[in-house]
Parts: sequence; C-alpha cells; structure tokens
Amino acid sequence: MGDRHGDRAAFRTMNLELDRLIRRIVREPTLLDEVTLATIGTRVSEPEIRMLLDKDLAGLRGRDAHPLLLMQFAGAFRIEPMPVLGRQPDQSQS
Amino acid sequence: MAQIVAGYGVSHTAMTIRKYAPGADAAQDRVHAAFARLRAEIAALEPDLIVMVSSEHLNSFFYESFPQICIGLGTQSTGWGDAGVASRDVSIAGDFAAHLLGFGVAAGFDLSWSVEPKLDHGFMCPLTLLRPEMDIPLVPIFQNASTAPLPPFRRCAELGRMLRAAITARPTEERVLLLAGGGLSHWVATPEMGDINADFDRWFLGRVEAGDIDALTALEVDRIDREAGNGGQEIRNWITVMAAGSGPGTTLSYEAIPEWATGMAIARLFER
Repeated sequence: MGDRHGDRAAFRTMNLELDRLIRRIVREPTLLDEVTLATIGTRVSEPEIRMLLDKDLAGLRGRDAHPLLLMQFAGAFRIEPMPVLGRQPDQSQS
Repeated sequence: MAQIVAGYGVSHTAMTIRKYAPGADAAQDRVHAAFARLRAEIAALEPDLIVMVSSEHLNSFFYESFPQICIGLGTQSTGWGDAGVASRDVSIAGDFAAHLLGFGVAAGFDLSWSVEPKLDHGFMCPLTLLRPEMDIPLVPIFQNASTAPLPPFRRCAELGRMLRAAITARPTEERVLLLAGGGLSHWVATPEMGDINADFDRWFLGRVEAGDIDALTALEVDRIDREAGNGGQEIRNWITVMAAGSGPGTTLSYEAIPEWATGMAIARLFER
C-alpha cells in the first residue's frame, strides 16, 4: 500500500480476442489463411484479420496486441522485428 | 541445513545465442567470454541444485491462468525450443521445490505452482550458456515481468527473503545456487525497440555493487518502463535474488549490444 506504480501496476486494456488468435496462429501457422480464418470462429475484427494476413506487426501493435505475442508472431513467420517495430541497430544507442 | 553458495544475475535474451557469430563483434565476444568465466565459477562451486528466478514470455502461461509467481514442481522439464534456443531436458529438484512452495505458503506467500512446466528462453538461454550439460537439478521460479499488473519491487525482494528463509530452514545439506534471469534495459516490440539505456543499466549495477536494495525496491514500476523499457521489468528477478543474500555485489560484465537490443549484464548479486 502507498506505492506509486502507475499504469503498469493496473490491469491493462487488452485485446483479448486478438491476443488469443495470435497465440493460436503462432502455434499453428497454417491457420493464417484467409479461408481458414473465416471458419475458425474468431471474433477478431476484419481490419485486424487483414493485419494478420499482411503480417503487419506495427498495425497489430496499434491494436494493443501483447508485445511478447508480436515477437512470437514475428518468429513464427521469420520476420526480423526490429526493422518493422523498432530502431535499426545503428540508431539504437542511447 | 541447506546453504546458498552464490547468487548471480544474467541477461537472458535469446539473441545471445541466436544472433551470435563468434569473432564478428568484439563486444559480443566479451559477453560470451564472461558467460564462460561464470560457467567455470559455477562449476567450481559444485552446487547440488539451481534455484532460478526468471520470467517467461507467454509460452508456458496465458490469460486463462496467469501466475505472478509460480514454482515448478515435478521431476523433469523440457525447453520450448523457442526464439532460437534449443530445447533440452532439465531435471527438476522436485523435493526441494515442494519445500520452497510449502514454506512459502505457510509463511503467507501465496505462491502458484505448476508440475513440470516447460521452460522458454528466459530459463534455457542462461542454462545453455552456464551449464550446457544440464546436469544440475533446477527449481524454476517464474516471476511475471511482462503483463500488467506487475507487482511492486518490494514484493520481489520479499520473495527473495522468503527464499533465503526457506533454504536455511531446509534440514538437508544441499548447496544451492541462486540465479536470476533477464534485463537489463531493453524494449520489446515497442517503437523504442533497439534502444539501450546504458546510463540506467550502470546506475542499476551501481546499486547492486553497493548492496543498496532499498534504492531498488523504491523504484516505481512505470519508471522502469520509461527508463529501461518493458523488458527492463525483468530486473525484478535480480532484486529477488539480491534480497536472498546480503552485502555488496560485483559486476562481472556489462556490454550494450545494439544487435541484441539489450544491455547485457552478468553480476554476482551478493558476497558469498
């Protein structure tokens, strides 16, 4: 009690459906198919489905996908995350 | 009684293994040389088991069941083989783990437990570098460092003190090595990914060297997000192990490695 910890000490707003779907796809990458996604009963929105199909990591981040799931998704599809999500190594020293 | 023979903290990014080409970068070579020195130091200590406090990355647990602190029980675990770190089998020191769990709960620490949880790179990367034989039984302790709400750092220190009490209360003679995994500064899947705050990292290591755990438990969780990144929250594992000992620590290696997007540190967290 009495600690000042801010937002990270509170339950954050999550995109639970998107996170669940990313987790499924990471474990079974063949799910990432337009027809398949239409049949598995997800409640993820159409724009988010498009981002998944396009492997749009920055877009998914903008939809509050969990950072660790974004990293797993990148790994599953052999996407180097730093160029699309962060800084290039030569810009990275602070 | 059981005794704590040493406590260390090491970074655990899988890129240490996945993105390492020997001879290609002097700083990366120094990190691996430091891991090799620590590997020899640990071997000389002849521990009977390793109690490792680390954080997993939504591989072993997910939203249907998400522990803040979880002790792994059973007899054997295996690695996920995630992020470029090979899967290996690891013996679990199940009897010792059960002792820590029972002691902790009796002491009012509401610990979760999991039988033979799989281990991701948060555990497997340091173990691969420090004990590739995988022949020292492990007690894995998972501490949430990724998903809000995150516990305050004072609670992480309380966990460490409880572990010390539990270990010294153990009537048998095990030699126990404590190992923390994670940190230091790094940003995971955020626009700052690739940044390293070496100033923060050196400040943190300065507190380790001073044995100044009060300065660390006074940290605000949100400050770590700002100054050390969302991945920097893994310093809580270091704080736990630090609190299980006493006295000043020693920085064994620090390198900011942009290609691994991480402030890479290795330290003794207290005097033996």
